[in-house]
Amino acid sequence: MFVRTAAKIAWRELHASPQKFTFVILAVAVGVAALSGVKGFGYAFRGMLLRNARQLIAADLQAQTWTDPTSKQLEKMAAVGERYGAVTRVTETVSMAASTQGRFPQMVAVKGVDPNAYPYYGKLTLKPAQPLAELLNEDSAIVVTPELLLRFKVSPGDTMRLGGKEFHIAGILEAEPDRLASGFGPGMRVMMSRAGLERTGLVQFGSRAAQRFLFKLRPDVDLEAVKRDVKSAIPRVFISDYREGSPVVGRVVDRTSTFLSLVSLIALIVGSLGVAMAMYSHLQQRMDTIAVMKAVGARAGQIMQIYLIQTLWLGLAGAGIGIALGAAVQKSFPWLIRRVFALLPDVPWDWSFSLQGMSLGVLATLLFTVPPLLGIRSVRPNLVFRRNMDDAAQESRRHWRDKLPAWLGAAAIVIGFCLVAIWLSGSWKMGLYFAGGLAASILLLTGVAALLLRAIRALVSASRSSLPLAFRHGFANLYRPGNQARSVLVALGIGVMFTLTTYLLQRTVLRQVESEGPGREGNLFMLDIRKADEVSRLVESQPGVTGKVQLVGYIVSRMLEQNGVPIERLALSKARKDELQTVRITSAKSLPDGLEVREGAWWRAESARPQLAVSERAQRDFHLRLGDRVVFQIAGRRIEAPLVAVFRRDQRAPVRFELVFPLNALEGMPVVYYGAAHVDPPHIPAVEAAIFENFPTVTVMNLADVLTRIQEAVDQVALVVRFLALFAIAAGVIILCSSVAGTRYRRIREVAVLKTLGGTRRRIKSIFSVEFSILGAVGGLVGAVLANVFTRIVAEKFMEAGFEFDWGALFLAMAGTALLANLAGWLASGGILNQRPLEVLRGE
Amino acid sequence: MPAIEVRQLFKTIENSASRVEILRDVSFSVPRGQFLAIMGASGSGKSTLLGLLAGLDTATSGAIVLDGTDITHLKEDALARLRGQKIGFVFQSYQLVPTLTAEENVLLPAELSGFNGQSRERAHALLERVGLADRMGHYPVQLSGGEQQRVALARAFMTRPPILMADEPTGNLDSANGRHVLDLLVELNREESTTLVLVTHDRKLAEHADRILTLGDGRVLSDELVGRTVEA
Repeated sequence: MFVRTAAKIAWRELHASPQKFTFVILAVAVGVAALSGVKGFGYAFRGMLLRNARQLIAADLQAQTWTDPTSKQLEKMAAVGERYGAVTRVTETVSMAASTQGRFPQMVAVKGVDPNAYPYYGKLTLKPAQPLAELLNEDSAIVVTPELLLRFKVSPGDTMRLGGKEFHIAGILEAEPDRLASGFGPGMRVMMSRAGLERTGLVQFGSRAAQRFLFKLRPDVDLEAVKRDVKSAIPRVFISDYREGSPVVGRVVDRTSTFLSLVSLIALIVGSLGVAMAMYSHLQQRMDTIAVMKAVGARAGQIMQIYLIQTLWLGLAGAGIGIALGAAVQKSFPWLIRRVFALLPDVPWDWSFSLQGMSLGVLATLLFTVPPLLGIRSVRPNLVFRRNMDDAAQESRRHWRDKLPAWLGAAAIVIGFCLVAIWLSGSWKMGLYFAGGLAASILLLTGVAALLLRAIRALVSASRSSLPLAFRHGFANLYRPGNQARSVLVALGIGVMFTLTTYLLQRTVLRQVESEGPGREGNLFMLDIRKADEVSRLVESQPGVTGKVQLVGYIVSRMLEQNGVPIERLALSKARKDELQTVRITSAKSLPDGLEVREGAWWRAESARPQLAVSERAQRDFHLRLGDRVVFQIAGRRIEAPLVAVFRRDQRAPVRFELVFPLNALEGMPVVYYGAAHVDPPHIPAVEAAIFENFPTVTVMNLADVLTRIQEAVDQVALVVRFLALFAIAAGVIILCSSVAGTRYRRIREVAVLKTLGGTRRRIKSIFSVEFSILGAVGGLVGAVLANVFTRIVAEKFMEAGFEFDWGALFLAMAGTALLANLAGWLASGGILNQRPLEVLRGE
Repeated sequence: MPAIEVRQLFKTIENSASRVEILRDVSFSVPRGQFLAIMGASGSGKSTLLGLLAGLDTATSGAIVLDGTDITHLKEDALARLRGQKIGFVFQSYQLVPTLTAEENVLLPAELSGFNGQSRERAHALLERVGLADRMGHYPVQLSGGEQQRVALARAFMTRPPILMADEPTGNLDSANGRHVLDLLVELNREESTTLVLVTHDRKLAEHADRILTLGDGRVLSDELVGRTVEA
């Protein structure tokens, strides 16, 4: 059997140049690490959601709604609870709060619960370790998170003010099982009894509050029956049960892990590209050995066996290390996303993902080595008579080009990675888009890299004598036989492109928010305002406030009839009918900025007669015509209004106007206002304090805080993407190392010749440094240019945002990558300057 | 002052298993302008001696003085500078830099040692002298063995070094090309008044020299001026 001989030869060759192959193994390892780490974490997170589903919603089943339920609905819900087990209500909202010592209020997340029932599942970690019912035994008691204590500089026993009432801190809430369930997310939490919540007056008609009904069901209960009954009690509720885990969080995790898997696949592809290059250069150096073997009767297939075995071992070794690194990646994920999810899973070792990562690593390695392996077929035995390696390389190159097998090899790579991408994304369309996009990027990068290299060569040839020696030699080394400058550029370019695109997109998002967001209306936002005129007067009288305060009022209502026909009988889809159950009516005196009347006419400013103006979208969705008579139920009253105007809304209009009533027509109704004021930034805390003092239920946010929140959210996503993009850069660096290690013998010989001819170490160092710097800088340049182009496309096509070419990022990328390339290059050239010339020259 | 002076030179290679004395107590001096051939069988230590003379390796003990400079304790960079100024080298396997053209290879020593005379003109003249005026822009891979060695010859004379060392310069060439290279070497040596040290195992080649030093088993076996023997 030749396999044994092939294995022996394969092993001896690997053994003979361990340094060269170390980099190949590492290139595979980084890709596998990223991929198995992401997949494993996604799976572990999903598993955690499912395993702890009851704890995550603190119930067997939860029904959530954003509208305040009527007393009738509450009665029905209580009846459903009694029928199947038990029910308790949890209300969550945000509010301003302040300590009695401190002047300045901050926003907190308030949660009102029945301490005797909540939570049905999971555990509250409280300090002191007493039952919640004992800590919240009076309606002025609250428990708060450690972050709140820190930010407000308070401790248990101190007093806080919320909604104009005083509350004393009875304990510390260290962990809460259903923290993710409501969608309010992390933040400073204040938990109180339902009676306490009512005392604050925060939750009124029209307030933004999440109402969650938690059910503890008897074991024999039919979940579907419960859901049906819950739906009939409150029609528009979102129901999830313990079998689904946390569906919203689960979907987010699934999407994120798919996206991140694809980013990791890029690292694996870049790594595999490195393997292909290393094998290509290895085979070139082995050309004469291959010729000798052929001369003594070896068939191409037998020789391919040797290198296939070698590749397989390299792939396996790389994937093995990759899995171990992947476990570290998996472990580091909770740390990366710690601010998004307060509750994080223990990430157990999962062998199935290790196996998947291993298979993908080996598959990728094999796929990418198909073309160089097929090249073995065209090596001619007569090379044995020609000692010069360069001739051999040229010989093989000439044959390489027009060979069908090489193209078949390339096709195998493309198809293979398409399938992998489809599998990872779970969607044909996304997989193909991804593979197509990546293939296009690689082709583009290769083309640009080739052009740049050619341009540099032309430039250097033209100005040869005027350039310093180190530069000329450094440049010349880029075209050294066996130097894979182009592939190194592609690999580094991809890494830089991804890292930089993430950064540029992140910045574009923030800039867009800054320049086009609500900042134009003011920099201090106020929500949940009940007494619009009083709040306006107060705010306008504060020092530092410029201009008028712009407040817009709205009221939540229900549409009942159109031209005498009940909504249920209208020819509308169920979803549309559902929408009409809770419609938000905005009030306006005159035609607001950014609106343009398309049909009919706007009312006079002082008009108090109920009339309706709708957006073109609302007109289309609800089949409305000018003159229609529409009946609404507003705060328990039936109000009929004729449709008098249809308007078009400018995309950048500050308020989402859909259905509008004259301001005076809503007089005496529970209208909630929101709006913004322009305040000099140094005066903001004082204005916030004044509003809190007089109107404690008004929520105030300043633009800087909003921007910080958006920035934090964007940063989190970007951090994870960049973390994985770094793997692509690492793979690029490893390829550079591998390329340098692959030309180590030539470099050693050159150093010896240069030393013999009088070259000092410094001189020789500068020659190699120039070579590495050019590779790095050009890689950075190509990556940065493409990153700018991609960001521009995304910004203009998908975000309607402007984008300017970022020269700073370009230069930074070039300098950074050049530095990195130098580090990598010298790492891989370790010791070549220390060889004695005689040893080298005599070793020929 | 002689061009080269060698005093009680020893070179020993040791590893865990064995200790090999390659050169034992070698002493001689070479006057300026002399053409010295070092002969000996394979393993006699002649190439090692040449390497030590050029400062490409360090001796275990003893001293080497080149053109008045004791190179025995010089640091690596100082040795490289000295080679750039004082020594030209011709190797058996040419050792041209593959990424440079013939002209650039010839210019290389001048550039490395900061030689700022009319270097390009001199490179052209030397290439013309070795019969390669029309191949200046060719890369080594595009030249035959004989042509590559002629480029190496031109390179060796580029900085007008007072000493030229050649290690089996015709060893990789056929007899016609070998003859051509040797003739060029001898003629250039005469024209440039260089001290030439040539290592060879070919008696016929050695007979072109003024003096033949024969090594055997790491020692000087004989030292003869062509026609008469001199005291070592």
